[in-house]
Amino acid sequence: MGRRSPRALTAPPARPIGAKLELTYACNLRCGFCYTDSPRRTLERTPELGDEQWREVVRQSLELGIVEAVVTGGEPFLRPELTLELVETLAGAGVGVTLNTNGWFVDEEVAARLAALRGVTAHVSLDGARPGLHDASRGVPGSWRRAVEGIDRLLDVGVGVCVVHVVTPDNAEAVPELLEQMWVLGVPWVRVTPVVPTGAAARGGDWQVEHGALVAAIEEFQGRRGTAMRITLQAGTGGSVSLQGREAPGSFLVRPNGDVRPDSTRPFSFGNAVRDGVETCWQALREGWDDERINRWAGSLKRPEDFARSELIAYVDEEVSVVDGSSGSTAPSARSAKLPEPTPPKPADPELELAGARAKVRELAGARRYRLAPLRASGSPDQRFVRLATDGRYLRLNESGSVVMDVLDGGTLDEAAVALADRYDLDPEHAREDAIAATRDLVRRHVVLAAAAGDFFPVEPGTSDLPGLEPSG
Amino acid sequence: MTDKQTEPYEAPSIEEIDTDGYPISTAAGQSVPS
Repeated sequence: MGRRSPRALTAPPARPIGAKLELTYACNLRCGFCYTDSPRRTLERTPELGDEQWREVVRQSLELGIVEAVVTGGEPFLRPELTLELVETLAGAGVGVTLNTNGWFVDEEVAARLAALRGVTAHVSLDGARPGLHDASRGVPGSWRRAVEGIDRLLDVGVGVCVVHVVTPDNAEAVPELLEQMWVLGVPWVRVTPVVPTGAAARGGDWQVEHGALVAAIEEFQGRRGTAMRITLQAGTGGSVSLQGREAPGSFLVRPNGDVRPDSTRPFSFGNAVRDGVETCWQALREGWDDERINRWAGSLKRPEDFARSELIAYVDEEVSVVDGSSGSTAPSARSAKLPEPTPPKPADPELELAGARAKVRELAGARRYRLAPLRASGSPDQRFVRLATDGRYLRLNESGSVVMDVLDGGTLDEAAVALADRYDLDPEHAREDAIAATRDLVRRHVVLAAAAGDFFPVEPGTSDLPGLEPSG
Repeated sequence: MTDKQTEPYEAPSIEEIDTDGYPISTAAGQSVPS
């Protein structure tokens, strides 16, 4: 069965498809391009909804019938217990959950609680194939290591992971290397996205990258490694945002203070989820989404540079309230707000640093332990037939494929490499390359899974692209 | 040492067999489905 993109809606549905919940303004990182302007908010300590208010927003959203949710911030794990509780509530109700995080706070306990849930995909930001690139992008030394270790912990326990790579002129050159590392690490999905020109990014800076070069890098990678790791490339800066500004919303977004917007791009509010109730806000959105002020605003955004010059910049200017008839915001703009200074990474030799990053990723990937999925196997040593109990598919493995499969029945990728080298007298590096490729293939085909994973497979990448729910950043 | 492979090494291969709903032996060409 093929994958279908959701059709653009001509009008908001009677009941919302999903909700994007920005649980906090705050973030521990200081990205110069942050589309939600979180570093500024962190400094300003902007008040946000309390835990009980968020529980009520989620309760009402579920009652309205949402099927999908994006839980995000800021960095949601700055409110760890609330984040986990709400994700558990949503997933427990059968809602598909996308959880955006920078990975810093993903420790073993967080990973284990997420692993116990069905239908949760963690979108973890990673902006470079070595610490110097990522840490410069994120403004906090140590964030590359924390992100990579967080991703690894999630994969270890079978949580669905999408690595979100924000590409800038500074890190664009390293995209092929990042893709390679994520493949080695066993990441099932990488989303490559240019900077969204709202929030901090709208204050200045050159964020443009050449779309064609990214396409070429992705195609080159897929030519070499195949398409087992899904890679999606978000459309170029600007155009998609402008287009989305004219589409009927299928979902709603709740800001950390409870204000309800159609999505991340349109800075127009339709009431407050706590003050007015979620359903009232949704009905206001259904009635007012096509407001002339919104259309005029969206129509003025034709090129990326238009965003910084726009009279209303999402996440920098206060939203315009559509429901109370106001014509514009009276709140002071944050265009020249004081921002926290990013801390630059310590100078390092890029080549040495890259070698260290590669070694770290290989070490993490090599140590992951696997187990067999429910299956039956038969045949001869040189041709094994496997029937997967989960969906009845049949697979055929050659002899060396069977060697890897047997080791991964309780063993690690590194042990599979040793077994191949030993049995076929291979150079260790050659054996390791082949063990990585075979392991990635066996995982993708659901023959093996991480030993610590639950009894179900993570959500297949690509099932959370409903309109208006774009995770970002 | 006894299980060292002497034949040419072939990289691991895992392929899906499309049985089109038939038993695998039938789909593998051992008989002609009616």
